Amino acid sequence: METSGSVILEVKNISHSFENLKVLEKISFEVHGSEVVCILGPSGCGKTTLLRIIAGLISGAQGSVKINGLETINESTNWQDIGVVFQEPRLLPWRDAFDNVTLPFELAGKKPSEADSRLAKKALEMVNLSDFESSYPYQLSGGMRQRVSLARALVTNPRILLMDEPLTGLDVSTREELQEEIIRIWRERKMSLLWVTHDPEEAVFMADRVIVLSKRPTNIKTVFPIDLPRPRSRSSEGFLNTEKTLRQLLS
Amino acid sequence: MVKKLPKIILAILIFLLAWWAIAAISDSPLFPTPWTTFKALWKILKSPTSWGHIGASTYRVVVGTAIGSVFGAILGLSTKYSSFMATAVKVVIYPLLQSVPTICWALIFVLWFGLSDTTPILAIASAVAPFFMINIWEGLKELDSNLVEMASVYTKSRSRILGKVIMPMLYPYIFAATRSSMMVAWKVVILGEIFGSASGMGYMLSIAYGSYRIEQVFAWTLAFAIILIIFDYGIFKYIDRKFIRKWKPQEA
Repeated sequence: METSGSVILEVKNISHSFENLKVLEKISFEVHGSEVVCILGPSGCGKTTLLRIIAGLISGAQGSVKINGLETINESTNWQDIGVVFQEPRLLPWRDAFDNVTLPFELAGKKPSEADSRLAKKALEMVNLSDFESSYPYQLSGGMRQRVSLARALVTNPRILLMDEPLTGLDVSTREELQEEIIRIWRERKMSLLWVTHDPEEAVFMADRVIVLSKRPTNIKTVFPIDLPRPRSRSSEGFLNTEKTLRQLLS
Repeated sequence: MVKKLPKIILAILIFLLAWWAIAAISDSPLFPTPWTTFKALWKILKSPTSWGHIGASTYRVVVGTAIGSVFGAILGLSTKYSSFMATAVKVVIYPLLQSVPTICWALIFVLWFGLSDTTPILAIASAVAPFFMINIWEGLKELDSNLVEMASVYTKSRSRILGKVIMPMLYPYIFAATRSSMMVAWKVVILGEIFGSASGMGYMLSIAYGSYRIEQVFAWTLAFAIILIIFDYGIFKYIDRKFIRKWKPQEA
């Protein structure tokens, strides 16, 4: 995949400490338009912290984060530019699937219009949940809940999706199914993806480039491009070799 | 409910039988039989003035609980946003409201406001406010901070996050507080009206008591119990099922 298009996300010299513990040390990278970048690191290395800084959910970091050219570090992001999918679905249990997906509009202070409702329907359609618009979260399986949460992240047509180990809590078959679907959605929507994971296989399947992080204080160990053609087969020799290389880089 | 109906009827029959037996054994004008009581109750229910008194009490219960809920909810919520308020509310205001007997408030309010609606209403408000504080604290403790973080992807407005995420999380707790408050409020209103009002069910009770019409005391007490049951089992159970439990797995 060519890394065509402009820079959507520019991260420059991000450092962050919790009290005296240095978590991130001078991290810089870019994500281009319709590019999938995975951040791969051992658990506890601060990759989630990095994603939260980028999403504007943690303040007090040093450095610069530009989304779509706008400085967002320690400030609010433009709510339409990014979508975040967390490790847990984080749905509001008292709202049905549809009302969970329109939540971003309401939080941004507008009453969802006709057009917004159409966007929500479309987002649910995209994640194959059209028939479950009026289901409450407790009525859905774990994988379906995560699909609703993906639809909520997609509803504003964001330029970039930030994914914080979104499939970690799911079983293997659901995980692989969702990986494939997210790739399909990504091809239709052409947004960028920044995907945090600790799983080398997931990184090889998803990414155009993999940013491998070191242990604390965390910085970038290497940036590893993945040139395998899509759709990728998990059992091909190229896939397995790349996975092996990433595993070695990680340890 | 329908399944339980035979059991309910049986329980009521046993209760009436026991009542009748005690009345028959004591054979005293101070212990009227169910029959005399029901006759008196029927008389009360037939008279429009009685409904005026029942209405007056209901009005005070609703307004008093409403004032108490807003007061209690605001103080309860303030503990999340200000450490000063957290100390002031938890260490001073809550224990004060909780420990002073409602009758003391009622006496003070009679002195201030005389025989008026204000006295029972304020007595109720001060009696129920602690329920809202304690329930909101419980709710805040259970608050899912992950949901709040998710919401802050889309807005930095605290009031919008409060309205769309935090308050709905607290509704079941507020509802539970309202339900227990109503029960307390009905008891307080009778008390407040007995010596702080010239209308209401408590006032009618005190008149019946003052003129030794014991069957009327019984009848008003019974009317009071029926209203309480209607409020709790009718209205609150209905709201609970219709709105609160809708998004939760139903328990059998």
